[in-house]
Amino acid sequence: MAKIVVVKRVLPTHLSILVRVLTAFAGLLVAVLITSSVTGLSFVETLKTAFESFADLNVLRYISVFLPTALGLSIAFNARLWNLGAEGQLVIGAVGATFIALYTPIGKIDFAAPVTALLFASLCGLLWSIPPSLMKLYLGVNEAVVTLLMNYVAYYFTNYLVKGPWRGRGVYGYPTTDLIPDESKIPVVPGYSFSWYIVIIALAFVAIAYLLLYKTRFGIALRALSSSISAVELSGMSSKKLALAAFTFSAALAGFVGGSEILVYHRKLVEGDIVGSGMGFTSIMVAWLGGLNPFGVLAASYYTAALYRLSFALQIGSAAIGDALSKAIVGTLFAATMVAEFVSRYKIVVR
Amino acid sequence: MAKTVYGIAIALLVIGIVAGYFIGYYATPKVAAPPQTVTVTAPGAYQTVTMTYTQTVTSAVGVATYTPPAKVKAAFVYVGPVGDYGWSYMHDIGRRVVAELYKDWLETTYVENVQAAQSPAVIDDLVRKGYTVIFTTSFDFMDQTLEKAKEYPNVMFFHCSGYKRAPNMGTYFADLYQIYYLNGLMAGALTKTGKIGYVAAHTIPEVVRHINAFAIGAKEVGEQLGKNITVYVIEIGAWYDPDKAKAAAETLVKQFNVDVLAFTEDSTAIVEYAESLYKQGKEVYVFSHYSPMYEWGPDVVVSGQLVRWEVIYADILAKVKAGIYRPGNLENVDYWYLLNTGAVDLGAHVYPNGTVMRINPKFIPILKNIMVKDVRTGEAMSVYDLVMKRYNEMREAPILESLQGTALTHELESLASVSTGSSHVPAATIAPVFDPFTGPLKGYCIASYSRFCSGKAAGSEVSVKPGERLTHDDLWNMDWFVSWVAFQGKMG
Repeated sequence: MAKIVVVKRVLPTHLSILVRVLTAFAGLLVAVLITSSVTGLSFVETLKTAFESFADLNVLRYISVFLPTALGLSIAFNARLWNLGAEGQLVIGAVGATFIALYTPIGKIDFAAPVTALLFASLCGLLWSIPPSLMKLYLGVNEAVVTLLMNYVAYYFTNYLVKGPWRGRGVYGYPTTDLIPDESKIPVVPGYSFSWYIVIIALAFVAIAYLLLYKTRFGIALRALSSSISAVELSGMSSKKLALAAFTFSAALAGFVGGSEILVYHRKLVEGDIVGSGMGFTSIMVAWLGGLNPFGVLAASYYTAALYRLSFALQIGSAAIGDALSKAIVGTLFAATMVAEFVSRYKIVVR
Repeated sequence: MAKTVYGIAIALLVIGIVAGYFIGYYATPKVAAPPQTVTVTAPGAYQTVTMTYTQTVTSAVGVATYTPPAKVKAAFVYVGPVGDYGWSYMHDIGRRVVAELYKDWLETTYVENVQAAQSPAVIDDLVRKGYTVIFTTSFDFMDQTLEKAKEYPNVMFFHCSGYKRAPNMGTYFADLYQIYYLNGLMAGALTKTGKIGYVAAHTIPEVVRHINAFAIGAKEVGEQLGKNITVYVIEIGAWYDPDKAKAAAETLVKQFNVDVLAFTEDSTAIVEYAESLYKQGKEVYVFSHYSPMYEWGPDVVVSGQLVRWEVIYADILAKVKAGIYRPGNLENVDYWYLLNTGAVDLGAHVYPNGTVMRINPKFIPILKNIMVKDVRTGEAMSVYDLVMKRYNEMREAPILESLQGTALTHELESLASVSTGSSHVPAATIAPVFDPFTGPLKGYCIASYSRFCSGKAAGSEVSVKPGERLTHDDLWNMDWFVSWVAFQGKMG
């Protein structure tokens, strides 16, 4: 009787990267093949759409969201702190940025307005993560559950604001605030829908996160936190302070993204689920897809952003394939990358 | 060693990504106008709000040399899935109709399930793929559409349900208030308890107007039959949420004892709920909304509201093709289409040949047996005849249609008639001879942006003088309920 066993293995790093990249490509080919056979579109045409999605600058619109949020999460996850609240922290960041832009005089000062709004957005995101992290550290409450639930608190809080005290005067009763002043807006690249400022800041975060995690005592201790708290304590660092720092840092990054969503895209506060649109949740997946490594997260957010864009791009054309099929294709691609993940970590042995 | 390989791989990946971007950047054909054209017209001239007409003659770039396109490529951006069987579904029906009708020169596409924050990037994609007419069909897309309209001055944008326009961005809407009124007449005739339930998505002016019109119809008939009509409203805070809609309907039936339901929500949940009650032996009548939902409740659906976006799409696209609409002259294009245009209709079912079942045959004999008077003329007739009479009265307004296409002429829409001075044709009717929103009406404020409620606290009394007919702007800003609407607030 043959027995199938899954055995853990360690592939050399370059090989494991190669496996992932190859799977990503293979998955793309399979997805294109499915699409063209289902819709009757030409294979080459579909392939072109797919590759265009990867080459189009508008990928940066989604990278601006996924990259900072997933970077923050990967820092927390490296310390085995399960922050599932990026969505809510992002939404609260958006509230913070709107507050600065719309309800303080700073909102009407060029340059100072977006900078302050983004900083305040980060601060709001950070503050939103304080209750769950304190509950985790001092009361032993599971942070995954609390952060997850606080996403919905953030949604409801935002909805309360836009339907109540913050509802705009010129919006005919729709649940949004008035538009933020022009001085607060961050301009997008003409012909595209992203801002270079946010992209550059996001890329800078990659370097910062890398240095923080791998080149500082803080980062080494942080990563050690997952395996041995006592080792960290013995080295003279407070594990609680460390965890709090990692947790709040990840929330601050999500808050920053929320602020940028308002200043770049919405230009007003809208209902919570429209601000977040689930992108905070997707970022959790991006962080894991990137293996919790800052450069891995960069690649993963690029890949995810391209697929995100692809799900819309595939719909455009004479044979409208609709959202369901395009989501199925994007799902196929994610499944392929997960297979790659599995293959690079385990092997199947038949005995 | 492994570290070096790792480093090299990463470096290559980064180089690859960067190279890919720039190759993509230069390889992708740019349909978009170069950025400098964006600054040609002062931004102030673009930003127009319904109330303040900017009468600038905008000489936008390219208008002088404009030639109508031989082939029109139109794209539709939907907020929901086409399968929602409500809002986006009916827009897509409209798209399908024009795609077939104009197949010689029109190419269409759609993108569904787009959220507000994703819409700018989706519009970029569409423009780059050569679509020159873009319909954005959600209020949520308004500001994003306006920004993209400024960015792409040579692309024509049409935004549904908003109020911001630009030289290359028009607005359009098909409104159902007259249909709600007609359904209200039937609701008032059929209710036994006098208690009617309404599940509202959001209490924005559009929905408030619909609730009021429905309540006005219900009272007009119900009062004559000795019923004390109250319309109980629960707001669910979502356009599409079958679970909440059903829960709200259940609350209305069980706690408020309502026996007729109407709603604004994009699913068949409430119709199915009423049908399930019927199967259990409890009769609660229901009016289907937006799409034809008769099949989900053949025993309980009396009638309903239907929208026909194809009427507006056919008009816009024909004018685009003819060169009447062009980028540069859309600033005052604002469709406000009512029953007289055929863009909305009374009914809950569409037969295979395309004709509409106006009233469920099961209820026709019942409605024919309930006798009332036409409050306007005093003439006695059955409720069925009254509904048909009002339908025809509101349908009969051919001159009105030309006023309903532009923002500038909206102020003339509530004119009952104009005099000609001729002895044989002394006057010509403009607006329908009947409109549900004619005084005397009493109500209470729920917000403060209309001329009735601005500067007043919620709950302040509203009073419309006898004979006064509400104008387009009054309807568009409606922030008050008639006094027999009992607003129960928002469901958590």
